[in-house]
Amino acid sequence: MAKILAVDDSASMRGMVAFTLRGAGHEVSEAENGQLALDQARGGRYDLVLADVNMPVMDGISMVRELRALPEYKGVPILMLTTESHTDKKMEGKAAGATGWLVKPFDPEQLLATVNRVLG
Amino acid sequence: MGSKASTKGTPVAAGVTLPADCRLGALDALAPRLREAVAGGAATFDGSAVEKVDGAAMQLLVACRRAAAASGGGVAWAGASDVLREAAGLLGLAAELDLPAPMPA
Amino acid sequence: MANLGMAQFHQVFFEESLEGLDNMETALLALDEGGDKELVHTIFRAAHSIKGGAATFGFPEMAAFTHEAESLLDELRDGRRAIDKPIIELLLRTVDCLRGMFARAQAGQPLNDEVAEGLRGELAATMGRAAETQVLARRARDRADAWKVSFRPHPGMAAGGNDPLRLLRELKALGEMSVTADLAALPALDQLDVATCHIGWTIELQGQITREAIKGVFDWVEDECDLSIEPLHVVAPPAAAEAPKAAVADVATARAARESAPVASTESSSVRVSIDKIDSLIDLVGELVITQSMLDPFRENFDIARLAMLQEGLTQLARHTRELQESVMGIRMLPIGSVFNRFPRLVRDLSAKLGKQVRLDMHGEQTELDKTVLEKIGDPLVHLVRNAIDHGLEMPDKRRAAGKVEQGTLRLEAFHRGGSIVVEVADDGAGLNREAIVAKAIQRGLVSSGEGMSDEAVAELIFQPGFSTAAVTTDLSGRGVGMDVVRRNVADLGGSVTIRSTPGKGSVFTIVLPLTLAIMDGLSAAVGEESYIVPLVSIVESVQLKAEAVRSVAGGGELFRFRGEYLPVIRLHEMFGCPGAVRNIEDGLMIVVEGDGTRVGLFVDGLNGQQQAVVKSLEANYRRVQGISGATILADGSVALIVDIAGLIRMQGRRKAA
Repeated sequence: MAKILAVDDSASMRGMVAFTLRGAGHEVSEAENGQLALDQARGGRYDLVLADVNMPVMDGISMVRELRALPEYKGVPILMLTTESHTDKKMEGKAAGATGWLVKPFDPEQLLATVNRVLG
Repeated sequence: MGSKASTKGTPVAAGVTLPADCRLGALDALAPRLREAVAGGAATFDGSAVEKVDGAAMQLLVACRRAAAASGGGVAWAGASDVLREAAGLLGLAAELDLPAPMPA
Repeated sequence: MANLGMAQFHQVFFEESLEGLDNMETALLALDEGGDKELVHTIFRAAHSIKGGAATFGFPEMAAFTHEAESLLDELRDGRRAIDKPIIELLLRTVDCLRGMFARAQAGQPLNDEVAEGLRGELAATMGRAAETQVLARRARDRADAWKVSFRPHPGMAAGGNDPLRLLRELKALGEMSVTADLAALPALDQLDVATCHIGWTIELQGQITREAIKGVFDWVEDECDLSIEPLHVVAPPAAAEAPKAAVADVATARAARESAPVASTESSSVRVSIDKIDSLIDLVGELVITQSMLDPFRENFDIARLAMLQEGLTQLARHTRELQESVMGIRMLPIGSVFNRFPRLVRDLSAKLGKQVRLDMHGEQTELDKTVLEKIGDPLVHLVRNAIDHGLEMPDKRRAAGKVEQGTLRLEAFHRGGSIVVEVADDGAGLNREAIVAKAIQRGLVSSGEGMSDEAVAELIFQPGFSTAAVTTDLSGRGVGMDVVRRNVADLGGSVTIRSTPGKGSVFTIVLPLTLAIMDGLSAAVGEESYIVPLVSIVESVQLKAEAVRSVAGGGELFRFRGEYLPVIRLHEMFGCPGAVRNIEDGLMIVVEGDGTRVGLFVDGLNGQQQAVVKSLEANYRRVQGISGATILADGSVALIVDIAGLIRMQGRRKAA
């Protein structure tokens, strides 16, 4: 099973994501902003990173940009969790290096389906 | 993660055992060893331990076989996992990579 | 409807097309008045999208018809043909004809009628040839049982986490797949950057697969690859999707829809909402779902250690619910512009017919009204506008003789005032003719003589049932509808109509409409067994008083001293007759409120707390009650009445006077 990093400033959101993924047997770490996530990501290679877009300290898009610049995260799927249904926000995330997105609202099944999709 | 499996296995002439995780993140470590192996023309790859693979790795393997062939040699397979064979099929590279048929168990 | 999904699809097409026709009409009218040539492009675009949609959704007659109009517009656009009155006239009739076709399409009737056939011939003849009988492509080719997909990732795709192997695996899940790799661009090993994508693929997929399903696989990488999806074998569309058959509508509906505004036939069927509003709703629902899933585990088991999480969840839930409520209410609010849109044409046609010169001046088209109100305000407004042109504005020679410009002005304006929407229809015509009105009223037996009647009272006569200057003198002001019907229609919406008229200067009809579905912040106050909502905006302060602070005064009233002034006390339990309420001043609470510039103290038992109230009309569900502006449903399902402060103060004044 995969090592997954869940990044979101909302505890409830993070809780839901982590709970669901752990339930599916994944090893999940949590971070509450982009900066903490980066620190954690440098410490160990994750198979998948799920990141909220709007976060204090460091937002999701800046985080993706920095994370993608790390050699060990080349090719690692990074998904934006976004409530933005507008394409420009998604594209901004993509331009920063995100693999794709998961649009809130999503239920646990959708989350798992998407995670399984990127993990292959 | 990485390539701790890479030095295992009986050393064959210019042989490389592909690690369990053969994805993009592991290729920076794997690629130099593959390049070195095919530099002499003939090489043997063992892909029987591969559990995870991606398009980038498959592309690298194709380039290795082509490089070996170009220098008058070739890459022989000491084995290939189901994962590797499935990937070759999906990417339309089965003929190009010429992976061995599954070993009868 | 045979196929609900398809019918919904059609509905959207109808709506956007009717909107396009409105735009065409507006632009044609502007062209008629010497507007910019750029307008032709607007008209062309509208016709073009209707043609495209008609062809796509299986209305070939409409597509063929629009094709003729489009060809003519094309010639106008290129300057191959001059834009003159007859052409504009012809295109205006085309707009009308298309509206008729849409009405018939919605009613499931044959699209072509004699008018359409004739007009199509006319359009073709204008261009000097016979009407083309071509049938346009019926339907987008979006289903096939075999597809050819060409997929070439851009160099950086895999490094961004989108592995081509994963995408091909997803494609394979859709159907039988055969893949050819294109290795032509693969560099030699020593030139190869492992993270860069160099291989392209051609994929053949077999099976009943939609284009959407294939596109879905590539949704994240649309901008990171070159992709083409071609059907190898097209499947005929399911026959059931064709021509919805609704037998109910008759020719009259179609004709009515064509003659009046296009919205008339689509009443209550749907509402067009801006994407922004929908997006914000989706976002909010998203938040709600997240909160719900956060709270869900507590249903099974609750651990006191997670109390903080539960509290956070409940707080979020409250916030999101409130925001969602506001957004949903906002969806019902639509700009009045969609009603105003019909007037340029109406004014133009009517003034031409009567030989009058009228300039239409419209303001406040963006003012938003509740959809229900919007749908019902059209007819009264049409009547007022017709009336103003028919009776208010004078003939050019008469205006000249009166020292006015020959062109009369008709002003149509909507704006907010307080918690209401005001719509005004004003003309600079002759104003009401007192003598004529009185004479008519006497003739109708409404009054015996006009003597001693104020001008206001005379003006009120035109709203009396049985008094209709319009329906009798000409047939123009509507189908025998009088001002009394206008007033009744507006009253049905909880609004009022008044007239201000100055002889020789003109008349102003003022319609005041409530925001029926407003949400209001209020304090819930307990009075006996009842709860009353006091609007937060009118509350100054609430104080607990000692018994001696309130003094009885002559005439039965009570006063108390508040910040240096004496304020009258209104005991809600007395006003509304609530049993079991607190009577002793020191046991209850005095809410100092302000309405119409007057402060009073409302005496209640106590406060239940602040809350948002969705205002329900009491008139609509029961009847008008003095001192009450509406009702709302409380959390426990009971009904609370919303106090109308200004109304209460007026009631108190009358009680004192009595």
